[in-house]
Amino acid sequence: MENQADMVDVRGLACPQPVILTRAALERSQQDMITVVADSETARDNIVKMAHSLSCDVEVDRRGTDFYIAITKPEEFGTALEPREDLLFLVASDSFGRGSDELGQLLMKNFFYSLSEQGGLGKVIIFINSGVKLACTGSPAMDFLFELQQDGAEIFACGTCLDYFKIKDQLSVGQVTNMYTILDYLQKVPRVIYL
Amino acid sequence: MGPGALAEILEHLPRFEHPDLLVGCGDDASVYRLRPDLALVQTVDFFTPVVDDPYTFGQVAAANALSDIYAMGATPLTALNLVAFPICTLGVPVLQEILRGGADKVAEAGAVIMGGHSIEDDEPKYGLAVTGIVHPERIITNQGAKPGDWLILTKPLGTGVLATALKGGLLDPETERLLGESMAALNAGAALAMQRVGVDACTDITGFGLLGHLRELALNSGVDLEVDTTALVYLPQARKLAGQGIIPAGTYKNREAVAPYVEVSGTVSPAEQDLFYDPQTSGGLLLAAPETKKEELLAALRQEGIRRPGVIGRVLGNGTGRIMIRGL
Repeated sequence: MENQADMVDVRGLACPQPVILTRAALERSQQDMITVVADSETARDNIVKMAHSLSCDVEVDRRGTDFYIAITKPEEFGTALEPREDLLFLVASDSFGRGSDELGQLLMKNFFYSLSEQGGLGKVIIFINSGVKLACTGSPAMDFLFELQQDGAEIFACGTCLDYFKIKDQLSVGQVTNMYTILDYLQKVPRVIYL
Repeated sequence: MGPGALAEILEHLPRFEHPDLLVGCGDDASVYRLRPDLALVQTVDFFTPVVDDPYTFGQVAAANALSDIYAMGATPLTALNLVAFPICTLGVPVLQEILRGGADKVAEAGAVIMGGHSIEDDEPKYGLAVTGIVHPERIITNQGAKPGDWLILTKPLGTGVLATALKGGLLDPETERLLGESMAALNAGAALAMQRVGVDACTDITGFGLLGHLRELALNSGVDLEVDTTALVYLPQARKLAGQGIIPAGTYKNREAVAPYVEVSGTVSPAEQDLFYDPQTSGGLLLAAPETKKEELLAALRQEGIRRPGVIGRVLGNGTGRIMIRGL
């Protein structure tokens, strides 16, 4: 039996209301599963996308002109919403991996491109050595770093490194930091991803 | 209206033929020759509010209408306002602000508003009919793209997703400001650069989305295109919101009409695949320029204040209007 309290009726509503109401119901509901009734393919597709972005399982059942969308929450529902406090990215080069610098720079751009699309991954990003170039004017990753910052990530660039490359005046995103602060973060944050 | 429905309707309407009708339906604006050295360029565009601030909405509507003139390589001269407005519920000051925004943009474009027409309507709508001029030999259409041409886009993508998010109260103030700024920006500078350097083809990216307008350009030019997804620039938050299902209905209509001509290779996230079809309001100009002019054009665009002109792809060769998407 479907529990009425965990049914959401979004029929007749225009985008983005079906998605907003479904998401609110998912966050509010005490149950593992909610059912949404929608009457347009746009609403159905958008609700499915939203549910997948929250790692939910989705089943769609067509009944007449309506879609019954059963959404099951994952075990750790809600943890993907905020930047993870326990994750730090230490970026020590403007090039990702060894072999070709040109390829490495493209990969680094792609890395931040993908990271910013997901959002909510990593609370702190620290740039050292040639990695600081990524936070300076002309960086291919600039837009994505701004986006990550907007989503709550803290971004730091090593002052000594900026001085070495003579680009301190070109720092465009994040703030200048020193080795004491970097060390403090490395001890404080349990998981460090080194790039 | 989606490209599919529109094509069906136009198919059953009589087509006008005239020796001086140089460009008719199927391009950004229509062109009619007055003299051997002078042609009239006309376009009309109006829509419902895409941002909350009435002044910004007026600016956006005007920039959007003027864009079709710029996309033809023409110079805007005059404009007429089109207004549908619930004056009793929303009040005079709101409409005044909308019209002030429109007037300021038209003035910025160096054109004049000569009048207009208004009706009462439950839902506000605003736009303009714009007239410009061009030398008949200097018209830039969406039919001239040639094999080897580079495709250059002058504004970031994602206005449809962000406007939908705004409607749902999901946008932070900073992103809202950037959205308004992008949509209110005139394509005048990009047009000036393209006229100075010379290009093979141009269109503006609006309601049919990036791939809808690329499809028109490819089909009308008789070529196939390649798009490099790593070169596409999006407005902040656009990819993330699209991934969360904040997608306007127009995206699905555009996709339905155009997807049969699109092939995707490599990795492209579902959010990006939706953004390819995201209906744009007052989007950028899409220019097709030969290899020999690419660097000069990019420099000219930057000089005109286009911060990040994106080299988003290339014309492959003669073809039937197919689009190859290359992902990561």
